[in-house]
Amino acid sequence: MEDQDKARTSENQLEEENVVTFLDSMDAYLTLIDSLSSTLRQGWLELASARHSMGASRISSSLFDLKLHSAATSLRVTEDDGKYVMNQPHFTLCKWASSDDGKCCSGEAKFDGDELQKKSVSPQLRYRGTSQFDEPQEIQEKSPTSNGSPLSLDSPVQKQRHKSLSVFGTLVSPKLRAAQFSFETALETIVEIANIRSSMLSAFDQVQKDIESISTGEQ
Amino acid sequence: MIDNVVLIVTGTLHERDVQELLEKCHPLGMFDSIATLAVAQNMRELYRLVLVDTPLAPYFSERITSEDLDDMNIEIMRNTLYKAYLEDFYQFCQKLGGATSEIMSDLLAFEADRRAVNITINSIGTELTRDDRKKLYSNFGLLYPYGHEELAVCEDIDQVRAVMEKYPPYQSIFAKMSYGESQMLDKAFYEEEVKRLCLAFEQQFHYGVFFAYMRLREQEIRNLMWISECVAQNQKSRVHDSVVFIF
Repeated sequence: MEDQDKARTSENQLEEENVVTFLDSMDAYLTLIDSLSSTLRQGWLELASARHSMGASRISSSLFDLKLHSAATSLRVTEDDGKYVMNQPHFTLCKWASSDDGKCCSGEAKFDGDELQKKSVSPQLRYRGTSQFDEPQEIQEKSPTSNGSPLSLDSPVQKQRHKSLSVFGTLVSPKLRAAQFSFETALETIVEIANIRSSMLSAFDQVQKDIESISTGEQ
Repeated sequence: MIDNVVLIVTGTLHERDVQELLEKCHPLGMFDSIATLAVAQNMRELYRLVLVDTPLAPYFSERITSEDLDDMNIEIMRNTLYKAYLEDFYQFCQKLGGATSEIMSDLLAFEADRRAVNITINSIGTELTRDDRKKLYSNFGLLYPYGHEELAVCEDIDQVRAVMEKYPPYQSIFAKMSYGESQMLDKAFYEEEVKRLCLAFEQQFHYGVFFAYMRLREQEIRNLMWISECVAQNQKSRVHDSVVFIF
């Protein structure tokens, strides 16, 4: 009898954990969506500001480079064995990578589903509009317009950044660089959203199964 | 015309359709053989095939190189041509004398100084060397020559501020900005320019009013474009970030 009670209690705890995990991941998802929206708004305004500063003829779609060249940033999709679901897709952003060598230069934003769940379970106050998650563990890229400190061209990432902006000219306004940085941040956030959505859906599936098993047990 | 030439050359470098580029050109800067710019592979050819018969010809120096046209060389060409045009315009106004010379010299000197500051800020962190940067500054203006010497070695916004604050007319411009910030600099320069352009209408019987009228119209267009962008992006609260009031 006691064993049955214990089993029932642990089952209930597991179900509650699943529900909490699902709710946490959903909260994280909504927070990231909000963050993405504000980052994109900021990026578009900075682009408009750069166009205002440099002139409409200097920043226009007619200057885009149509020559064949390798992608500056790529997305890698793998299938991980998630906590609940097998073959849960996992997205990894490879920023400023050269497709020739297949290696990432830096700034790889990799978020593991388990890490997200660990962070979401821990008791923390959450604030909308900012990402809860740590910055990528690789090189922390400083904003180009943060405090006027000189940009170093020594890092390959900075070189790639300048190269991608060179379609608009070599001497571009700091506002254009700020817009580039905003869109870069938005891209990282999108990948985070994809990963958290994947975790959220798998947690939801688990909660569904728990509900079905409860209703089956009651019948 | 300079912007049109650079647009065609840059667009050709990026394998864009020439007709598409011609549609984006400013009508005031068009000339008959502009489409032929797409054929040139380096600056010497650019000059020899097309620009020798245009008003831009005198602005090409005798030391034209045969270096291929890449993004850096095109940028240097743009700024070098504009520098030569500004200096030519300045000397022309000096020759006219009278109120025209006085008013236009002030306006063009401000333009030269603003260009020097923008070139400095935009070239921070790029591959442009100090010598190349200094060559792009015009040979007149309040900052010429000592201010240019100091600007050429600046490596961040705060150093630029330190240089500019030595000149009283620009102290008020940089006083509006907080340290490390350059976002409001464009607006501050536009406001100062509008103030000087409006003052051109205070004197009579000079040709500077035509120049002032054109530049104020351009500012109106910039204002309208900015307001349209803010409305399109649903950010009406940011309209006053860049709108400059005239008169």
